[in-house]
Amino acid sequence: MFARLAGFDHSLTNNFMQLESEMDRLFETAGLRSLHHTSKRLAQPQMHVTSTEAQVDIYLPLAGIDPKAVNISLDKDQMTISGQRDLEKSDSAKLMKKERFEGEFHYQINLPDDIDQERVEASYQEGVLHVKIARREAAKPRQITIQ
Amino acid sequence: MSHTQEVVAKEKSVEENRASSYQSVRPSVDIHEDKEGVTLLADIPGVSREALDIQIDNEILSIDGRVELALQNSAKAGHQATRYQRSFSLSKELDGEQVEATLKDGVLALRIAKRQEFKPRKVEIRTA
Repeated sequence: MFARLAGFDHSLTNNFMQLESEMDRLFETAGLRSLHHTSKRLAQPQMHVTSTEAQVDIYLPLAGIDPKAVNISLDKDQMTISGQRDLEKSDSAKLMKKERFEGEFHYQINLPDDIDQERVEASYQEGVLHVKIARREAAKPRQITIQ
Repeated sequence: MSHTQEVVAKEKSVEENRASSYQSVRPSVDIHEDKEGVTLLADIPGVSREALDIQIDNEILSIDGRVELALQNSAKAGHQATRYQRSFSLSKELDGEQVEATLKDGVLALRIAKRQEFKPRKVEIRTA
């Protein structure tokens, strides 16, 4: 199963590279050529989810979006973050290279079952959406003092 | 006892290695060209002004931005570091001396002007 997965990934990467080299050639006419050797990995910024006894934190890289247009919903232990990213368009400029994501996005995150539905906070800074979800008191380990 | 210590020391060094290593990410870019120059837009979410380094050296423009998320779970913080790196070679049409950079909501906008001689010129017609 892993071999199959790896194979899939590989072909996907190859297609991507091919596309990329075409774009680069195209772009030479615009005067800016991308140099490949600096970073060959085509890794994308990833979502990070961390949890402590007190809370769960979700960090989602979403550059250049209107935070008001992001929809965050919670259904039991399943969180959905969705929205749309629109890029500015210019009539006078020619688009020489287009890699940045445009359109709808949709993320689904499974959370622990002890989260507190009422205590969810979200902030957006430097293009990163941070959602903080508190966990219920009962789930925290309690210190029992001997009297 | 000494064996345990060794294992602990080994794990610690692995941890430290991870803490200092970044996941290198090639940022997605859009490039627009108009008569006056080019605009490069790069997605680098999580990079602050202070952690962003843009250099032009020998007609090579390089972007290097680090993300250090202030994670709640500090023990994992080292694993979450990302580094956006990408370089472009500037053609002779572009003026490396005339570059403006702005950063907003994780989007870097670089405006690079074309050299005067490559800009379209309007020829004035003198009246006889």
